[in-house]
Amino acid sequence: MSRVTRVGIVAAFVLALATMTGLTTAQGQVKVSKGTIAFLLSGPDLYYQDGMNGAKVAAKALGYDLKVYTNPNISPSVELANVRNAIAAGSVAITGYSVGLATEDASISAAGKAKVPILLMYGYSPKYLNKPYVVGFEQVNVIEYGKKVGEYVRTHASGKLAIITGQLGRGDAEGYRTGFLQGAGCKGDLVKGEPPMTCAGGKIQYVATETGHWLRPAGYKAAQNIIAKHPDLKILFSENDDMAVGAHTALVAAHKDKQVFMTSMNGAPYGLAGVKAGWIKAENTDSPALEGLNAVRLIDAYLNKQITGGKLYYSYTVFVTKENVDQAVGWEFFKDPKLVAKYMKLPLLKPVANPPGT
Amino acid sequence: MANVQLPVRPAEQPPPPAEAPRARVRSRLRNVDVFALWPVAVMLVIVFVTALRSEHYFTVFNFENILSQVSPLGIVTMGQAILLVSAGLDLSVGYNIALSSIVTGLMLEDGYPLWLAIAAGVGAATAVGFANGVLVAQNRAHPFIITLGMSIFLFGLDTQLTGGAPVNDMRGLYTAFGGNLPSYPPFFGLPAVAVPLGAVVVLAYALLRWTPLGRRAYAIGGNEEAAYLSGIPIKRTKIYLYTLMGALVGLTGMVLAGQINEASFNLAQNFELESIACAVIGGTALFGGRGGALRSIQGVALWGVVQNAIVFAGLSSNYQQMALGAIIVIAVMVTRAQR
Amino acid sequence: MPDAPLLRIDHVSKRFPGVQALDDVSLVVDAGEVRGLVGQNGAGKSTLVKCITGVHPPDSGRIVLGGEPIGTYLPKHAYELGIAVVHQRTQLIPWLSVTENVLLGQLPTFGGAIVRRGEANRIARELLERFRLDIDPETPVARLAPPERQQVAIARALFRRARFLILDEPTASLDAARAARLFELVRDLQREGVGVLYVSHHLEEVFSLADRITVLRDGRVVATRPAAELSQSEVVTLMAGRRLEAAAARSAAPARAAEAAALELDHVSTDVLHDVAFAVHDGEVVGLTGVVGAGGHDVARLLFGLERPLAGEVRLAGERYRPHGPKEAIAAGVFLVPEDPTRDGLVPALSVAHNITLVDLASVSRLGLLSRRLEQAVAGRYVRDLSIAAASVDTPVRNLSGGNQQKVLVAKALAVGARLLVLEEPTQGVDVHATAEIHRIVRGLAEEGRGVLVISTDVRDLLEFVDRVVALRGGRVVEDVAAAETDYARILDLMVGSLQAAA
Repeated sequence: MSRVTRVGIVAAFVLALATMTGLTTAQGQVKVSKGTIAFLLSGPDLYYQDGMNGAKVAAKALGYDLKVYTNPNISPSVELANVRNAIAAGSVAITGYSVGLATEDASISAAGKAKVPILLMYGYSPKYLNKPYVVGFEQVNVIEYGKKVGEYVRTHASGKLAIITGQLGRGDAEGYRTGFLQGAGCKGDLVKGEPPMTCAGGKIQYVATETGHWLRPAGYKAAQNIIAKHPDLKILFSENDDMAVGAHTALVAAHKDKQVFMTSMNGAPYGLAGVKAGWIKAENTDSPALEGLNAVRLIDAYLNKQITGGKLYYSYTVFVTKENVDQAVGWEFFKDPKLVAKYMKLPLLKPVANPPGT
Repeated sequence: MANVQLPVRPAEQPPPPAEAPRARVRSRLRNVDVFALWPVAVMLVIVFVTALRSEHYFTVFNFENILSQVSPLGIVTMGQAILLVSAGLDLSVGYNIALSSIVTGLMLEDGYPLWLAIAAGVGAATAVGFANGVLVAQNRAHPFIITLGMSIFLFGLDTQLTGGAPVNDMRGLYTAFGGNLPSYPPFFGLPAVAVPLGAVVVLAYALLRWTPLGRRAYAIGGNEEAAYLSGIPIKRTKIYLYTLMGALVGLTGMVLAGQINEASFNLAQNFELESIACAVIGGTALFGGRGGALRSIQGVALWGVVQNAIVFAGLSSNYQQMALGAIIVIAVMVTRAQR
Repeated sequence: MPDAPLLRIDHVSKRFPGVQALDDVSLVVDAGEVRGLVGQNGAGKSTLVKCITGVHPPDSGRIVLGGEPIGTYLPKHAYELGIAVVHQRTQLIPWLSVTENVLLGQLPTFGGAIVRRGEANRIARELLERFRLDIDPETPVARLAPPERQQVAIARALFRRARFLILDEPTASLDAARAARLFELVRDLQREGVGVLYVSHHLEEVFSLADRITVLRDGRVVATRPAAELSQSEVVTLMAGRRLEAAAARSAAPARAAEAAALELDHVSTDVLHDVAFAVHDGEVVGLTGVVGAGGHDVARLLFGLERPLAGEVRLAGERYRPHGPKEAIAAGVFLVPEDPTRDGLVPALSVAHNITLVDLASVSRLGLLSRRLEQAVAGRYVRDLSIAAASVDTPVRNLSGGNQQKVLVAKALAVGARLLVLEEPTQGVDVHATAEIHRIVRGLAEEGRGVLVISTDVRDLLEFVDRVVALRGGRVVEDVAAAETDYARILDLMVGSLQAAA
C-alpha cells in the first residue's frame, strides 16, 4: 500500500469519526434541562437496554437529560472511566448497573469524592447503608423472588426436579436457587444448593442443576444434558426466560416438552408469551424498564431532598400464571405514553425496613 | 505488496547431515502417525468410564444429544481448519455467525420469504469473510489482529442491529433444524443439524485432499515464500479461503439459529476460540501446513463428549472448563511430540 | 609486547557430516597485530571464526587466549573473554537506542535500578567520536543506515574492551570514505595492542592493513607469511591451489551469433548492477560468479520478477521480458532454483510428489480435482530420471538430504517445462557425490536444449561443468569467456580484484 493511500485511509477515518462525534455533541447541546443524569449501561443484553429505556422516559417526564455511558464488554476499567467521565461532564446524579461488587466499590467511592449522588440497580452491599452520597440500591429481593416460584411448584407438581441457573459467582444466581429450594420445601444445604435433595415431604426429588450462563444456546445444551441423564424429569426451573426458551426448544426436539412442568423468572416478552401459550406454567416477573423508571424517580426525590440516602429498595414484582399474565408489568411499556404516565403515578418505592446484613 | 525477498546469501554454512539408510527407515516410520488418533482413544476411555456411572449415558438418545450439540461448532471448525492449514485463522466467526442469524431473523420478522432471508444472512457472513480475506491478503499484519478487529466491529454492528433484543422466531429455519430426521433408515432419527455438518466435513475433506485450492492452502501454510516462488497466487488464494470461511459461518448461523430458534448477538459466544481449540486438539497445526478435516472433526467430537460426560459425572460446569483447558494443552504436547 | 601471543590456535579440526571443514589448523596472532585471513568460499574461514567465537566447538585441538586455554564456551561468553566479532549482518537490537546497544547489560545506573541516561549517552558519544560518527546516541538502531549500524557494533566491541577483534567482511556495506575511516580505526586499535583478525575477499584491503596474511584452502592453512613478502597474484595462486583439470567434456561452444539468445541481458542496471550485458543460449550452461554482494543474487531476483531493471532491458528468445513476480516468470518459461531449498524453494511438510507438482496443479487435475494417479506418475518419472533418493514419492521433503532437495527443486522446474533454468548455489552444502550428480543433471538439461544459468560463488565448482563463465565484480561484468579458455586462478583474480578489471 502506498504512503498516499495510507494517509488517505487515516484521513478518511479521522473525518468520519469527527463527523460522528461532532453530530452527537451538537444534538446534546440543544436541550435545556434540570441537569444530566448519567446512566451506566453494562452489557448489551435486552434486560439492561430496557432498564435504560425506562430510565430515559422517566428522565424526560421529570425534566432531566439522560446520558448513557456504554460498557458493552462488561469491563471494570471502562466502568470506572465512564464514572469519571460522567462526573467530569457535570452530571447531577449517576444510576445504572455496575459490572461487579469490586468495581461498584470503586465507582461509588469516585462518585462520593465528587459528591455526585449514585443509585445502582443490583449489587446491594450493607456497607453503604445510610451513607449520605449514596442514594441506595434498587433490586429484586433475590430469595423471595425465587421462593414464590418454589412455593407454586410445591403445590402444583411432583417428580424429579432440575434447575438451570444463571452465571454463578455473583450471588444472584445462587440466591434465586436457594429461594426456590426454600419455597419447594427442600431439605439440605439450601445455600450450597447441590442435589440430591428431597422436597415437599418426598413428593419432589431435586436431582440436577446445570448452569446456562443466562443465555439461550447454553440453556439449550443444559436441558439436553439434563434430559439425557434423567429421561423421567418432571419439573424444570430456569432462572431466566432466555434459558427457559432455550431449554424448551431442546425439550421439544426431544419430545419431552409435554412431560416437563416448566417454571421460570423474569417476565421478558418471550417469557410472558410462553406463559400465555402454556408451556411455562408459572413465573415471577419484574420489569427492568420499571426498575429504571423508579431509579430516576428516586434520584429526583433525593435531589429534591424528599428522601435521604443509603437505602435499599426492592423492585416491584408480579407472580404470574396463565390466569393473571396480563397483570405483569411489561418490559417494553416505555413505548406507550399512557402506560408510562400510569407507572409514573405509582407510589414511590419504600426503603426496606430491615435490609439484610444489619 | 507481497514483496517476498530472496534472502541475503549467508556465508559458508556447514552442510546438513547426510541421510543414512537406517535414518531413512526411521523417518518413514515416523510418518506413520499413530498419535493422530489420540482423541478417539481418549473418547473411548471416557465413554467406557462414564457408561459405568450412569445407565442413561450409553444410549442412542444421549449420543444424538452430543451430535446435536457439536454440529454448529463442527461446521465452523471445518472452516477454521482450512484457514489454519494455510497459516491463517478467523477470530470474527462468533459475531459473524450472530450477524448472519440476525440479518435472516430480522428479515423473517419483517415477513420476507425464507429463501431471501437465508440468502441475505449467508450473503452477509460471506461478505464479511471476503472482507477479512482482502484485508489479510493486502496487509502484512497477522490475521489474528485483522480478524480480531473485525470481531469487535461486528459485535458493535450486531448489538446495533438488534438493540440487544433477540429475534424469537426463526420460522422455516426452526422447522428445518429444530428437530430430528425420520427414525427409519437411512436417517435413523439423527438430529437435523447433523446433515449440514456431514456435508461440510465431506466438503472440507475433499477440498483439502483433492483440489488445487486445498493444495495451495497447504503450500502457503507450509512455506509462504516457497509458494510465492512457485508462482502460486497468494493473495487470491487467501481471499478464496476467507470467503469460503465466511460462507461456512453463514451456514453455521442458519443451523444454530434454526436449532435454538433464536437470533442474537450472543448466539455463538466463544465459537472463535472453541473452533480453533477443536482443530488444534485434532492435530491441525496452529501455524500452518499440517492438519486436515478428519483430524479436526475428531477434536470437535472429543470436545462434545467431554462436556457431556462431565455433566453425567455430576460435576459442576467449572470442571468442564478445567477439563477442556487441560485437553487443549495435552493436545499441543501430544501433537508436538510426533514431530 | 608480551612474550605469550594474544591468540593461539593449536591444531584445530572440525568436521561436519560429509565435509572436513577445518583440518589441523594452527594460527598465532600477537597483540597489536592485524592478521589477514583469506580463502575461497568453502575454504573454512567462517568455520574458523565460529570456532573462535564459540559457535562451533572444535572437534580437536585447542584455543589459547592470553596464555590461558579456553575450554568449551558459548558465544555469549566470548565478550567476557575479550573476543568480539563484527559481521556483515550485525547483531543489534533494532528498537533500542545506539547507547543502549553499545552499553547493553552494563548501563551505568543509580543504585542498580535507574539508568543514568546522561552518563550513558556521554560514554556512547565518546566511543562514537572515535569514528568521527556524528549520530545522536538516542537514535534507535533501526533508523540507522547499514554502515552506521556496523560502526555501532564495533563501538560495542570497543566498549567491552575486546582484546581480540574479528572483522568479517567489514567493508561489504561501506562506501570508500567510510571504509577509510574503518581502516584508520583498525590502525588505532592496533596501536592500543588489540589483536585483529581481518577476514575479507578484497585483497587490496587485506594487503594495506595486515601485517601477516594466512591463506586457507580446503580447511587447511596453506601459507602464513608477512604481507610484505607476498604479491596479490601469489595469494590468488595459493587460494586456488594447483590448476584443476576441466572435468567433463564440454561441447565446443559453437558460433551462435545467428540465432536469438534464449536469454539476453542488454546493459541492465539496478541499484546493485551496472550496465550488465551477457547472454545464455539454448543448450548452453552459463556460470555467473562473483564474491558475495557482487550482483549474482540480484541477477536471479531480476530474472524471477522480484526486482525490475532501472535501465536496459532483458530479452527472452528475442522478446522483451519484464515479469511482475514469479508467476509471470514461470509462465514465460523461466524457473529459479533458489539457494536455500528448505527456506525458499520447497514446502518441507509436503511430500516429494506434492512439491514437484505444486507449480502447475491444473496439469495433474481432472475435472478440477487433483488426480493422485497423475501426480504419482509425474513425480515418479522425475524421481527416476534425477535419481532422487526418497523412500517414496509420498515422503515429506523435510526428510530428504540437501542434495536430494536440490533435485526435487530441479524436478519442479522440469515438471512445468521451463526453457530457462536459473540455479543459485546448487552445490552449496551438498556432499561430493551429490555435487557430481547435480553437475550431470545440469549438463543433461542443456543437452535437452534448455538454457541454464548457474549463479555461484564457488568458481572451482562452476568451471567443472559450465560452458561459459561470466564474472561480476561490484555489479559489473569483468569477464565473459568460454570456460575452456580460462582457469580458476584467473577468474578468482578478477573476482577479488587484484588485476585491473576492464569493465
